[in-house]
Amino acid sequence: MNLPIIQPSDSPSLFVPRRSPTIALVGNPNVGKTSLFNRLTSALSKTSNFAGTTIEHREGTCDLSQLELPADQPQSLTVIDLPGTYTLEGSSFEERVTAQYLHGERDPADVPAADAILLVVDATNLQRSLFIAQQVLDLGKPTVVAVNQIDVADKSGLEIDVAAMSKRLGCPVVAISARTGLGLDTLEHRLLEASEPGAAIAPSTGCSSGCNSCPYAAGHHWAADLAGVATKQRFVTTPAWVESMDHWLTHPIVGAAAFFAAMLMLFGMVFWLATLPMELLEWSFATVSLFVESLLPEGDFQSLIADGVISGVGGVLVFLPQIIILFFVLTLLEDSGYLARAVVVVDRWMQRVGLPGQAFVPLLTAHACAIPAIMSTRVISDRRDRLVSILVIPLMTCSARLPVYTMIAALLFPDSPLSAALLFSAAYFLGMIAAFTMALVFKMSILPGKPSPLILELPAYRRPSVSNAARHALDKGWGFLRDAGTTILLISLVIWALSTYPKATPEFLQQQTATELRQNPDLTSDSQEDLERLQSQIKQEHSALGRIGKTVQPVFEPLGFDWKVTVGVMASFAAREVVVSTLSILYGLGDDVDDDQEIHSLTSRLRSAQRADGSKVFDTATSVSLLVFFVLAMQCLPTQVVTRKETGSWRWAFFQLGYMTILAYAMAFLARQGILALGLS
Amino acid sequence: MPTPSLFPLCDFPPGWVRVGSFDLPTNHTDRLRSMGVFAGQRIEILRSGSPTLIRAAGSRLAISAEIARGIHVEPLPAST
Repeated sequence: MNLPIIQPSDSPSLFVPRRSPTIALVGNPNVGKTSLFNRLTSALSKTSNFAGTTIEHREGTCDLSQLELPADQPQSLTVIDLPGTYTLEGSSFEERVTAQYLHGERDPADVPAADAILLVVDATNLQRSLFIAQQVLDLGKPTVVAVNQIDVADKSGLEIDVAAMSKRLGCPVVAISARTGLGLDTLEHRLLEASEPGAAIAPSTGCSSGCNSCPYAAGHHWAADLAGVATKQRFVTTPAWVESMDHWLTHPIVGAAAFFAAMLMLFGMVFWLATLPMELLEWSFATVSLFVESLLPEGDFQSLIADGVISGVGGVLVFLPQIIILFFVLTLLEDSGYLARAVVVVDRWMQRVGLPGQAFVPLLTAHACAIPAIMSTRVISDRRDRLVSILVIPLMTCSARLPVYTMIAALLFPDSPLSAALLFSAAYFLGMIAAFTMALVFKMSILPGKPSPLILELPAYRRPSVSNAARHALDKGWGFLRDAGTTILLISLVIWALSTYPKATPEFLQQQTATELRQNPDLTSDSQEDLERLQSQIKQEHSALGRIGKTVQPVFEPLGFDWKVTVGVMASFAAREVVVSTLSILYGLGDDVDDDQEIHSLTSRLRSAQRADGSKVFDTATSVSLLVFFVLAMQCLPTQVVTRKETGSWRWAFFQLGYMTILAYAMAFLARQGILALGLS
Repeated sequence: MPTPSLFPLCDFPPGWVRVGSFDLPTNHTDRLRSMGVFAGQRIEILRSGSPTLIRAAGSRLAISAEIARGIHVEPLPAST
């Protein structure tokens, strides 16, 4: 592509002095672009998508106060971290959006237009990372080139002649180490100069003008020539250990064993290490809730704050440790260079179910929680593959399903831990089979196409930066809180309102309590606690949610659900584990069901629950039907919100809810009818 | 289709080869080209099989057997 050189007078908007000039950060994947972004921008960054796309960019502020600049100079820079790309002329959606932004074809209201470009290249592999340089320079915008990892290159015996590079490129070139901070002050000065009105623009490289059949060849020859001029040690021999590591880490058997060990560590950390902070968060919110209850007078406002706002926020925050730990470990694995090797190992397995190798880690992570799993699908480069992965991830059994499985296992096998364990395993297995089957179905129907075959750069092994991983993890956690928290809180409040209003009058409550006690000899009102439980049940039944449950119950009749189970299903729309506490209220046990003994009490109640005709509500067929429904149903509002955010549209979130609900209903129905037909209930 | 002097990359043992042509969809060809695998370029096969590991333009790449079949190359003497 032969682009005209933009002179300052041709593009006045580009050179209007800004209080905080915008710098676009461009470069290949794995050149340390994100580490540099984190170094330049100290506070938490804002992560968002280009409007109408799922292509992510990060925006941060680079504080220049340490440079002690005159007052009339900008005191900060706005840095936009663009997706890593090998070319601006490629056919992938991500490359096209990045190129559109750099060409000034995206709406500045969406993301501010770049005043200058910061191109990051890798000192240890100049030839590769300079290929994109000719395309960036030919954009005709002021550009600064940062040669990153200069310290690593130095240790490898490479000398980079930045002066020679600068002379050939016609723009400032600064040697830096994003890892140690070396050269960053100089870089900030050069960026400031480049963003000033009338800043010098590098001449066209001219390497694309003479290309006929393959513009890539000219670009690569140009890059190889420039790298040759700028690098003192022309041939860098790869250490033998790198060859050996690559051989074993991508080996079908040894590589698979190493991969499972790494995933066990990742999964273990997400699942177990997060337990304590999650419990602490739950305890903190419970304490705050109690404190608020003691401060405020009893009534609707108290309930709104304690049960609606605090429980709503708490329900979201409880996932935060898992999200932060997952992204911290994933970033360490990615920075070390291992994750690329792991993708090579699993790619051949995942291709069989129509997904690329990059989908494996998110699917495995979903066993802890679907939210970080969906967020981590950003490693999948192909849009359709990523969408399919997002759609099937919630089918994998997450930790929130465990209380439901525990309850049903105790219902079905109260005296057989082995059978209960087998039931657990079957539920996990069912979720995995469903996820892989639906992935195949989607790839053969609404999102057709073979998974992208593997073409992957194996980055150099390097020691990961803990601070970079921590920063990335905190950014992800903050993004989750900001984007998901607000919507989840709002819908939590709606569910609170539906389960609170209309309120039963004291007369109605008294009358219904007397009726219930008369009709159910099992119920007692011996203590104040028993009476409160019974009245809580009546209030729930009287609420809008209870009434909706009763109205909707015929729909769930084929699954064997009575109105109480139906209310449980509906109340757990926001969070599936809520079904346990809802059933405990409706079956008169109270809402604090969190240990084995209380689960046992609940299951005793459920086991003895009867329908109007005297038959058991929770016979084998209905219990299995309930289990299958909860294995396959969405029943998780935070996941829905994250799906919307990651796909950029509520359409996919609703589709996910719809197909999972239909699948859950159909499979639960088949399971129940099968058991009844076999006479096993 | 490979010409008489060009053969699929997947048929070659480790060593140096020169890229001749591609029999792949445009998006895969573009991706390979942007990563330094283009007609006329010398690349080193580090490991044959699936995945195939190669070195091109100073970087190590892993490519699936499907991609390796669609890259047609000619052998180069070991000394080059």
